[in-house]
Amino acid sequence: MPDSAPAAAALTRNNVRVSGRGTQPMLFAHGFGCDQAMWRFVAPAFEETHRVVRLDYIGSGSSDISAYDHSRYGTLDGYASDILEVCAALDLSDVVFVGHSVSAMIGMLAAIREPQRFARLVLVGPSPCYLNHPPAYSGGFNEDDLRGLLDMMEKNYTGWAGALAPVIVANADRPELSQELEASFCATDPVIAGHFARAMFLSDHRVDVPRVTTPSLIMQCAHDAIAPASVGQWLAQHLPNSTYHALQATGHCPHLTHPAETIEVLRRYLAAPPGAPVVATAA
Amino acid sequence: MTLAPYDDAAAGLLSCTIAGRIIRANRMLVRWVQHDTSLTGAALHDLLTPASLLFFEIQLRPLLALGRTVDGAFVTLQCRDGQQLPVLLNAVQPAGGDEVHMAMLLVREREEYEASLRQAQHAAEQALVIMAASARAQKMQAVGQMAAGIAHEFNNLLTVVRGNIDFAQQEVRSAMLEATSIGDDLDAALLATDKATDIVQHLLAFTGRQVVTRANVFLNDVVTSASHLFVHAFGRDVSWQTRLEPELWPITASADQMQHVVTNLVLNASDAVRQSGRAGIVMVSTENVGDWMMPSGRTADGVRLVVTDDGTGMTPDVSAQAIDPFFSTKGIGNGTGLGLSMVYGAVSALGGSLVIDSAPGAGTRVMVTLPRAG
Ligand SMILES: Nc1ncnc2c1ncn2[C@@H]1O[C@H](COP(=O)(O)OP(=O)(O)OP(=O)(O)O)[C@@H](O)[C@H]1O
Ligand SMILES: [Mg+2]
Repeated sequence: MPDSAPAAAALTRNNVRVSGRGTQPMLFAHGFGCDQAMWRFVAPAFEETHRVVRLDYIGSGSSDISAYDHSRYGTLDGYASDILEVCAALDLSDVVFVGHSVSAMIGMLAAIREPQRFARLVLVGPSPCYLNHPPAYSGGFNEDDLRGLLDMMEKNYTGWAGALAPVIVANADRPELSQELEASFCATDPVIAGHFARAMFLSDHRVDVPRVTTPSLIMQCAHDAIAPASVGQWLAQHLPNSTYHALQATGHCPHLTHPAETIEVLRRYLAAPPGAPVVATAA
Repeated sequence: MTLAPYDDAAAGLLSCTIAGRIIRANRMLVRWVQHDTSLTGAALHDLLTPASLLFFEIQLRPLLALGRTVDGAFVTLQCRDGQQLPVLLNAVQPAGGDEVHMAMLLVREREEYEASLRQAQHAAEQALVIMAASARAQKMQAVGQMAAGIAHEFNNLLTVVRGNIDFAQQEVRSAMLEATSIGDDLDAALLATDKATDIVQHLLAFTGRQVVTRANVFLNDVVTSASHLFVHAFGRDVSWQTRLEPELWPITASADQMQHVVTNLVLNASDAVRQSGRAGIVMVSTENVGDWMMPSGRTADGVRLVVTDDGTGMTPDVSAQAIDPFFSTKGIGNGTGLGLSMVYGAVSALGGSLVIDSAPGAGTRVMVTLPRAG
């Protein structure tokens, strides 16, 4: 366990926010290209029953980018170390880890390293490998697609359009969004984001999947362009103690587009014994 | 229904459900992507390249879902014939609705322009990195030279101090036999110590970027006062001679700096004599030069200092490098190799010239010429 100085530093580095009246910790980790604001429709629903912890990965939101280390964050393991350091700093155990997209894999890596910390993993739109490896594995993309994405990201981050800057301009039609979130939402450092994207899209963590012992829920969306159903099903077969649940929600961000269904499924999974199927609900 | 301003807008317009099912698209967009009649009912995903689709889902979709507008994102449309069209995309998902509205502008040439800008930016960033690195290196070098310079000057002065103390010791031994000049030796040692203090002041002034004060200096005075410093430090095999022009013109310089110049040249000369293993002579002379050819090519009045020795002399190879910083043949711990580089630096700062004339076995003549004060 890291000593207290770096532990405290982890809380600043990852802009860790803690709320809620429960005791069991529920740690929400955002996906690529966003920050903890992503959980604003879902996390508050658990504040009554849990101790809700949210964080920003380095380079996202209000994280401290001065703590950025290019080689540490060259692989998802560096991000998993951040998760474990945050857990240590808050002295968390019995953690329900909820990770979206790339965070699902980061959570699995963290749980392999320190299984004693985690009670359950909730994996929203997970994928251990985005590349196709025919015939056995269909990640959804070929190498050209992923290189094209990295190229597209670079164009959007650094181009004359600077598209990601205009993108974060507030929408005057939605004044209900809080000021605090306006300021931080998806403030992503372009260089770090590019590096993160490489770590995410060009890695293959399939061999790590069978090493996870923590019970987990695979939340598979319909028509998910990033993590197709073939990937969710592959995970269901290879991830020990996992429960597979197909959402009615479409897309890659059910916690944003279909928060009610997401909350419901999460609640039911947490209420049932580990490994039991989640009873489908009328969404 | 077709609506002319909508269908013929100079932009691609499209509305779709949040699930990506196209509700309507204007004729312009249909024409761009070369679909036959209409796009209604098609999937948004079929209009985007895989990379653009990924980017849309991972980066833009969450923003729209959180009520943000997307302004000017860059994506690529996938046409029927396999062609790709770069477009700028604005998108909005009105509150409470389950539709997304988009407008697109073609930016074909912009993309190339963009790419060249990005390349220029990368190049500029790289150049900055290189510049910063070399500026750091230069600074380190300057600091190192400064430190070595202090060490060097102290080394010279300590040579003088040590020589005088040696002398005093020998004279103490024979003190009972004859009257001695112990007092003089100690005076010289004391003087060298004071000089060392001066140099520190001088170098501190230099690091503080203060301008070295220049005044009218008579080189004869410099030589005379320097001779007090090192005459005893030479050892018995080196004799010392001066031939000074009584009507010597003044120069504009720092007296301290000139003292360093003379000291360095004379110590080099006496080293060369001692190294030759024979008794020898070091001679310092001064003269006025009426038609001196300056380094700039003009002729002017100059004042010349010549230090001659009949020591080892230098091979062409050594004399070619003698001025280089840190070049020394005297071995580690003996020479820093900065003496002549400091002389050269000081002399060229004053617009003067330095000429070394040397051959193995034939001794060395070093000529410093400086502009007459005007
Ligand atoms: N009068 C001379 N006769 C022969 N060689 C000389 C003479 N003056 C300079 N040199 C050669 O040039 C080299 C460089 O001289 P320089 O004064 O720069 O450094 P140094 O004398 O070696 O060390 P220091 O820094 O202690 O002066 C010397 O090491 C020596 O080889
Ligand atoms: Mg020297």
